[in-house]
Amino acid sequence: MLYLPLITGAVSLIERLVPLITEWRKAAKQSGEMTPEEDAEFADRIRNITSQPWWKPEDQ
Amino acid sequence: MKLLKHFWLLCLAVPSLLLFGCATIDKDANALIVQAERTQKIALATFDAFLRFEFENRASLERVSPDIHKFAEQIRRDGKKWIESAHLLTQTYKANRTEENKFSLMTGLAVLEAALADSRKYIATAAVTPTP
Repeated sequence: MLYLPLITGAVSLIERLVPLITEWRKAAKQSGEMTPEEDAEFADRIRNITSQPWWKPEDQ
Repeated sequence: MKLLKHFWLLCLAVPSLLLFGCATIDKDANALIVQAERTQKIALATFDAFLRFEFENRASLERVSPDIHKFAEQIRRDGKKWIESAHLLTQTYKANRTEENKFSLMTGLAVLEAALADSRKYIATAAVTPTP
């Protein structure tokens, strides 16, 4: 039981870190300007990000 | 809680290594635009991961520093606006590369980079503070 929070924390860290590092690597590899299609895709990602529950402010 | 500290230390170290260690720009690309686009992508990914981690570990982080939650709430309120604004200014500059649009983009990026710097400050607070 003592190790349960640690295991849960470790799983949570791995879940957060893997996509984050992937995103950082993709961003760092970008050497040219985004194409209009990439621009539109990124705009969609920005638009949709606040639908996630962790983006909701506490008072909402 | 050691795992928590390692997460924050990685948050601090990895973007710096990626940004300054292997950043190259095509000869025909505009360096300011590429940098602006990279910054927006990194800001979106970092804010999203930070907010999700804060959301899922709020009680532990409250014990580290209540300011972390306050900052997370600020990102929840304004983070999307900062990225959207930088994105719009980048598109405007791409379409019309005037000095005025360049200055506006640099100003928008400065706001976003200041938020990223604040993120690093709070991440560092969490990383160096002893936790129960």
